[in-house]
Amino acid sequence: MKTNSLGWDFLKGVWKENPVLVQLLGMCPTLAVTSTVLYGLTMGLAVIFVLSFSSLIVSSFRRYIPHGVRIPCFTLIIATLVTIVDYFLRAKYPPLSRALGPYVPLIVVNCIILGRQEAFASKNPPLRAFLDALGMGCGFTLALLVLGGIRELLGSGSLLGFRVLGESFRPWVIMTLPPGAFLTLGLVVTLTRWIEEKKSRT
Amino acid sequence: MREGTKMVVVLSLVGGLSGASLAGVYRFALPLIEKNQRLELKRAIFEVLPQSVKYRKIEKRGEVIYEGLDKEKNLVGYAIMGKGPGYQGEIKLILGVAPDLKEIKGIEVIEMVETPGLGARIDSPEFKEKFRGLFASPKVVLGRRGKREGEVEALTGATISSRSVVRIVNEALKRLWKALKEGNENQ
Repeated sequence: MKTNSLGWDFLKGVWKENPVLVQLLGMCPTLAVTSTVLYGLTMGLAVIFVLSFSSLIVSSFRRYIPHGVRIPCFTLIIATLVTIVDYFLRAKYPPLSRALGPYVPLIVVNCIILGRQEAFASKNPPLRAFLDALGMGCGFTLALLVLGGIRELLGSGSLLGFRVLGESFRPWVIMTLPPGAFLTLGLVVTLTRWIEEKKSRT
Repeated sequence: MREGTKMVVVLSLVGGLSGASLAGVYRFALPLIEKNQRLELKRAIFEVLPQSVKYRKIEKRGEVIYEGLDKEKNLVGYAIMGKGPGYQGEIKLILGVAPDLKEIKGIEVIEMVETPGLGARIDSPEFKEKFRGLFASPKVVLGRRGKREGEVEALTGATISSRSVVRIVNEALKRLWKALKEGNENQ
């Protein structure tokens, strides 16, 4: 696919420039909330929302934001959107909000979001910025789902709370603990690098 | 416009707009959040006082205490809020105690921001179940095997969070005793 098309703006974030697996950004939520698929999915959706709308807003007003105060402006916009997500979860899904604890407010400091504003949204028109953000958000969510899936399956023997592996399976508790997050992330990154390398050789 | 002035104007504008939009969202979300908290409180009281079907809020010596009542309106126990620092932030819980003020009927975690997968397990049924039926004489202690009277087994990998919960429970018990025992004697 041509690298200057709208489709590429969206697709590059999903695989080729995946924020988690390739750029290694946003490691804090990636490691912290992927103990189960559901938490990973919630975090992913929250990031898609915040990222797409902050990119859209930043890109629309990019000509009016003075260079010297661009970072505080981006941060304010991001923080506002994150707080909206936080209120929404607290109002509509209190158990999820409780489970994710401080990690929803911490989306403010997720460097994927600020990074996209600085690298893309502040230099490109709204549609392209929106697609870029959507792609990056989907790539982030995909990575979290894969990590959450592996960790929940091996760590609790279930997927989305449903028991998949039989009673005879003894959960590997380490997978739900922080070391499990690092191990899984390392293996998944290795696997994606290996696939990419194989693809580029052929 | 000079660059400096422009910076001040734009940043103030962005700040003002985000403040205004958050105020709007907050007005919509606040009633829902409060309703959730009320439902949560009700559910938590029935959870820590299993025989209760309704509760009554009373205030004694500045302490807010919830009396759990069964179908015949008999007192089945008291519930009191407790809070204190955990590993990462404040832990808020509710404690249910039998009318003799010794037997713990149950605990329920209302708010906490402990580490997911580690300290967050203080909110798991396995941990909370360990408190049910304990005799606090005169307090609950943290142990390794949960064999002695009033002893709770700490969670593996979450000693600080377990210790915090035990401390908060003891502190809440003390306040409950102070409010109810001495209150009765002096009347």
